[in-house]
Amino acid sequence: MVAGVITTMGPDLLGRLVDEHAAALVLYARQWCAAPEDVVQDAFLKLVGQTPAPAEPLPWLYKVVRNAALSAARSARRRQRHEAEAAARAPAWFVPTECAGLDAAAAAAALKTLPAEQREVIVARLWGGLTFEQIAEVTGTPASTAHRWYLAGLSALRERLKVPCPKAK
Amino acid sequence: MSQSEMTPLETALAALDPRPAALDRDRLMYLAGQRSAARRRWALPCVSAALASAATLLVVLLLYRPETQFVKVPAPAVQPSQKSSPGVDGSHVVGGLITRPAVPVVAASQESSAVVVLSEDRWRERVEALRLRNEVLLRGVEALPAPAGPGERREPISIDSLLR
Repeated sequence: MVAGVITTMGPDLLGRLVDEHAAALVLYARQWCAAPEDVVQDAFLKLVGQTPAPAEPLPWLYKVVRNAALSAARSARRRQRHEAEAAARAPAWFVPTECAGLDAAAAAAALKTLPAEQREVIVARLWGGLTFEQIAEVTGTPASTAHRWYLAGLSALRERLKVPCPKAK
Repeated sequence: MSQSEMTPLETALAALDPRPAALDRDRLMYLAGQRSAARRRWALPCVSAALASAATLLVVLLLYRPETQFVKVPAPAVQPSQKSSPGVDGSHVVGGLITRPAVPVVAASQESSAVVVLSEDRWRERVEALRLRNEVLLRGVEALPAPAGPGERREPISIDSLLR
């Protein structure tokens, strides 16, 4: 994870952040808005304009992406027809794969049925790699609440994806 | 959370790769560089504006520097009944007549309200000196009057010439 005291965002660090985290950030933003790439690109550009640069750029990026995606979603809600068309054209959330043990489309469909707060915590934790403390900072909730939402979301996914509970084994 | 602490469901979910971001990486890096450069662009114009303002102020001060002005004002008339005695300006009253009517000159400066009373002779001397100074400042030492040449030198003063 990229962390530490940084005075300015250099091109090397920015390039590394884009390469390693852009896909997860887009997945995170895709929960709310139909144009997540624009939101993520704006977040990276905002990061460059920060003086000094945030001590922990990754949680900062997730927070900015979250706010921008929610704002974009609010704007899109005013254009219901366009939103429906965009949702119909929405690309898949995951790369289809055979070896993951889960069907990517089924996993995405199951994730979409989760309550927003549970889905957000699961995406930030599993694909974003954030700690519960960082997720709590991003979402503005206590870390214990974020952990509880995570466990509840996993339980719901296990049920929907017909994955047996590990304790039942 | 380490891999060993994750349940099989978490492991299986984490193994799914998010769809690659359809970001134009080169364009993003270009825009980032542009924004980074724009952030520092205000410093030079600010310095230039400050220096230009200072230069303008100095030019204005240079052009509109106040100069000393000389103004002539008539002196109050001296009463004939007064005893004949040399005045401040050197004039005398003899038999009710002013033998050398004094026309005092007042020099006043814009900065101060001090007034200096000068006799006409002193006034003429000053005016001549100022004129000569301005001529020398404008045209150099060539503006100075030519000194008396050796041919024009008068003969030395002797006792005879004095007795004559």
